[in-house]
Amino acid sequence: MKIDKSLMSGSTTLLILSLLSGEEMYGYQMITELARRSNHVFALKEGTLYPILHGLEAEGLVSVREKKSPEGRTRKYYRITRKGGRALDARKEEWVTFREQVDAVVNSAAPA
Amino acid sequence: MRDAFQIWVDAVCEQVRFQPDRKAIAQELRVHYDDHVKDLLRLGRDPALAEERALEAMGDAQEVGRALDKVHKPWLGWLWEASRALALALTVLTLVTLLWTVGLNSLVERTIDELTWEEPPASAVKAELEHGTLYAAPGDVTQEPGGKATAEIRLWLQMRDPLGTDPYYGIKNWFFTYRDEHGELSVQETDPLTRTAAASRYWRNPGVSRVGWTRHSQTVELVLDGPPQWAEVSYPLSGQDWVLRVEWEVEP
Repeated sequence: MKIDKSLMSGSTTLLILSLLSGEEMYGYQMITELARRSNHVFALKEGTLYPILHGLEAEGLVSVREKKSPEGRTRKYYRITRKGGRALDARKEEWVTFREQVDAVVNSAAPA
Repeated sequence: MRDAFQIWVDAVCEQVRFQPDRKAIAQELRVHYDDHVKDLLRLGRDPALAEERALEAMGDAQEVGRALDKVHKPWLGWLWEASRALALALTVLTLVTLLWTVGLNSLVERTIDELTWEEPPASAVKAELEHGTLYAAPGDVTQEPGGKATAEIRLWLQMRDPLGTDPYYGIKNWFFTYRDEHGELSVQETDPLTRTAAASRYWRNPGVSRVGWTRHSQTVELVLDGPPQWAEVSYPLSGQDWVLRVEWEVEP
């Protein structure tokens, strides 16, 4: 099952910051990890990842550095900052509340 | 020839108004695309199909480009570039000023000093002063037409800082007393000589200030009524008694 794009767009920051909270990653790695961890439910249009990443960088939530990969390619690696960590905690809390309330509404509307 | 991806990435970058960022964006997207193609090839996909799939996965160029443009705001970018240029200019200016005022100036002076400085000869007479040492030695004597003679007296001054009001201040400012067997005269910068028709003087070394000490060397050239056999140089206003007596070897 693929998820509707509009449902994804609100949560991309949360998803990306969550991914980066474990380790620093480059863009393509994030896409494959996101797909793997969500059992291929979350599939971002890959190009749209970069405006999000650059936005997070501008806000200071992630930092970026160039690093040579073992195959000799220069890649940009993103890493979560302290500020990003705090933003992630806030987003998580927001998400939990949101999920609980959506569940509550959806379940109450279900026929008995 | 532009491949399909290049066309896509060009379309993305066209949307980004802040041109200086375009290159880095294109490069990052290219690396991503290449990674994806390689992954698909590893799965055994046909190369043409792999490229097609990877490109398709990138999404709509217009959409990606517009989103990037929103993040890479031109005014913010130019402000950043301007602040960097300003910082660079300030750094260069500071360095040049620093080099000019301390480094270059003292380097040039030191080099000139090292090249032109001659130590006083062993035969030089010397006076130990409160803040340093004054040396004197006889220079050349030249017979001029009409019985006059030009006599050179060479002086060296090595002073420790701070100078304060020092007995050799007069020497530095060309104010001292010269006496020989014919009589006495006072040598001043403004009123050169009283006894002779003409006098001139020149610096052999302008003198260099260094941390802790200063040295000067100078040659006084005096046009006298006749060739002197000896001369005494002193500075009676110094409050400290010193007389340096130089003697010329009389030619047979």
